[in-house]
Amino acid sequence: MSEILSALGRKDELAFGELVARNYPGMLRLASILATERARDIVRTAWSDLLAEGSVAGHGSVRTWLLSRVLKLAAAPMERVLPAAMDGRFEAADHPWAGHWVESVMPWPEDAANLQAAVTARSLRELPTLTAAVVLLRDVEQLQTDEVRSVLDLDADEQRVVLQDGRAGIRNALAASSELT
Amino acid sequence: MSALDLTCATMSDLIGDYLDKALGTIEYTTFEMHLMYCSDCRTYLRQMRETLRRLAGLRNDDIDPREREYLLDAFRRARR
Repeated sequence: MSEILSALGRKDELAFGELVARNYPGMLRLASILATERARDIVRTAWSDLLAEGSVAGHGSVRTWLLSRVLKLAAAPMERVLPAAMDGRFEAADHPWAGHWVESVMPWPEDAANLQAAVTARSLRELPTLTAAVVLLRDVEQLQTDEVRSVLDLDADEQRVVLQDGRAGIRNALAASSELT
Repeated sequence: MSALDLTCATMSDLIGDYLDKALGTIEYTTFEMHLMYCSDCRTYLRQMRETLRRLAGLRNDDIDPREREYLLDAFRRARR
């Protein structure tokens, strides 16, 4: 990271170009989830903020700094929602088969690949904002869990529960779409 | 329910940590044991892996060349 910043200090355009190449696409995906209409402008502003500040002191990495800045600029409501993806899927506590699947988990057909790519993207966008952001950062952008927590200001349990619910919601959407094929 | 008898509901709670290899030895073992006799949870695990594969597949690192040029311009101006 310090190499990158000193490269910026040296007016090294190539290094800046690499920084953009590595970080821009993920920033735009996050901004699109948080504030679709303003996504491009939010990302531009985050980069000018980086250039203006010239340093990300006190932050883990340029990447998490840029993503945090996108989050701040988007100022989207990030309401905590109760996990709901698995509601009603398991037998209740008073049932002899308490905690077991109410309905059998049906395998997916092998030939639904194209449809499911579109379903994955759509169901991610349709999650509650915070949930979508957690899943995006962890499973699309492949950030480590502590980086996700630092960008979104979540504690470990919150992050775990929200991620779990978001993944399950997308899996359920894929399952529902595979039944239609 | 004993420690060696996870319900499917608990399995679905633990699945993320299982996939992240973040389960302790005992939890990992009981998770694997449950998979041996529960085909529903095996299918669910397979689908969750597939879901993560599809999410990772949404990553596309193309950049609009105009946006790239805009940012490089901003860089040149900032460092002038």
